[in-house]
Amino acid sequence: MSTDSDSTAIEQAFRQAAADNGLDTSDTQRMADLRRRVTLMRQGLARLNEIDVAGAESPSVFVPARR
Amino acid sequence: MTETQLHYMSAWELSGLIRDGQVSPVDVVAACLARIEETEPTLNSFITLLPEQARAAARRAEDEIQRGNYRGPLHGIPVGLKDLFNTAGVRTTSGTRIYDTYVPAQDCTVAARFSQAGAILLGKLNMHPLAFGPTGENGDYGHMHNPWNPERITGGSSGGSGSAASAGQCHITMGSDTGGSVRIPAALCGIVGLKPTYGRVSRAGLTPLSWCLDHPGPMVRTVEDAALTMNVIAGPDPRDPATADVPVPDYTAALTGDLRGLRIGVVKEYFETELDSGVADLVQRAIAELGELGAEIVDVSLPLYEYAQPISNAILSAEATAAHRDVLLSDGDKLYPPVRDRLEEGLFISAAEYLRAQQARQVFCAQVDDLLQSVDLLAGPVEPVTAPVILERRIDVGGESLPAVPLLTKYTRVYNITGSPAISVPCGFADDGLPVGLHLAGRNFDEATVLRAAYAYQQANDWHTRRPPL
Repeated sequence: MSTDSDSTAIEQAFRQAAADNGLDTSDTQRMADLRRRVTLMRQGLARLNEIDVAGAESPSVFVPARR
Repeated sequence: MTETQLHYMSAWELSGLIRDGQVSPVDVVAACLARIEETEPTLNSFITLLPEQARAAARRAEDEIQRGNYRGPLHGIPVGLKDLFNTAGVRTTSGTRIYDTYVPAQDCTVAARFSQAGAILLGKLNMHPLAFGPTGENGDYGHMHNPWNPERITGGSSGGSGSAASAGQCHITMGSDTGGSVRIPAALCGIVGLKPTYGRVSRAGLTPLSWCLDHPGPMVRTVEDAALTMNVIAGPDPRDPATADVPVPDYTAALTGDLRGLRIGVVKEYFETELDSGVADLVQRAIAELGELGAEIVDVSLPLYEYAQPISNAILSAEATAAHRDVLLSDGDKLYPPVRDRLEEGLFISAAEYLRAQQARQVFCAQVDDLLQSVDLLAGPVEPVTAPVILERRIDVGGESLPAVPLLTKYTRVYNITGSPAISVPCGFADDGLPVGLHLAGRNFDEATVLRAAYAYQQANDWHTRRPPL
């Protein structure tokens, strides 16, 4: 069960992450809106874990021939 | 010949007349500029119009042709470029006032190839800011308006390209497609939009949105004009390391009208999600007609279709934010708010999530590749609805209210993930009088088969000859 203090801590952690990313966090309403949207986005991205990617290498492999 | 005939004539028809001296590029440009003057207050297709430069180029083209120096089918043909294609000496805003005074020193490769072919640049076309949105909204330069109903969106992000080609302001326009931005406005404005294979057309000199999903492509009124344009812009480019050294065919040779021997797969999942029934009927009728024209139509399944959105979202958002992070942090308050919101969200995608999406992309591509072993093309709708009202954030489909961005990109993102060539070709009008597009996608680097099927369908119908009431 989450408590008010948990909620405040999560909110503070989000604001810190936003600040670390260079965003101006002074507008509380904007930050709350961003947090809501990021939560929704991350819920969507979590679906990527449903795909069996065993054996699929990331295309970020370094290809020296291109350089 | 009247100006009306000239501005709505296809580049294909016009090129022969220009070559033979029956029509002057000067008259063609004059016809387009007159059409722009008449319709631009309604449509807002252009960010920068270049009337004097275009008239001068038309006079040069006329002179060259009269001297026997005909360069080819695009010589003297008016072209418009989405305003993220760099043009030497002409400002390139990427659809935001932040870059209002940015004037590139060098043409992008596509602009350079048009110039080499003798095409005439009429202007730079309006777009969703930074190409990050599927509707064709722009708070800085004004929203784009659909020629079939100006209260409706053009679709985006290449909205000005869609409205300009549809309304006869310009013969050939170019867009860029990261999640559907060529095909969406093509479908909603009733024109042809081809997203070529990733690596077929150079991205050099285009403002990036997502390096591994961006595809430049033609937006025109007929399939022949898409083929003519591809003949000029396709091919490897040392300035874009993603371009492939794959032979470029004469795309017009594919326009035979013959569909015999072609197998077209209808992806059943496309019809099992939220889809307007009127749009579904038109698309299914068009697919049946491809069968009547000689293709074999088979049902196929793409079980991973439901993951197209999260794969695309993770890659596109992370890359867009990486591409535009500096401007987001320095001038975020000057960005169009919905674009700023999406860029901010991208800051919260982890490297592990991005790479997971790239792994999932490979699995997704393998499934599509498997399908394209058994069929030559995949068919379905481009859009689940006709053009919504401008600024409508949620759209009603079959009684369900859905957010606009994922809805408008639900079919198109599939082929940005796979990099496959995909076209939107007009296939009729819904009960609201707005156009609908048929989506055909093929194997990588086989644009010819995509164009072949689209052309056969086009020739059996007259949708491409219908004009918006402007």
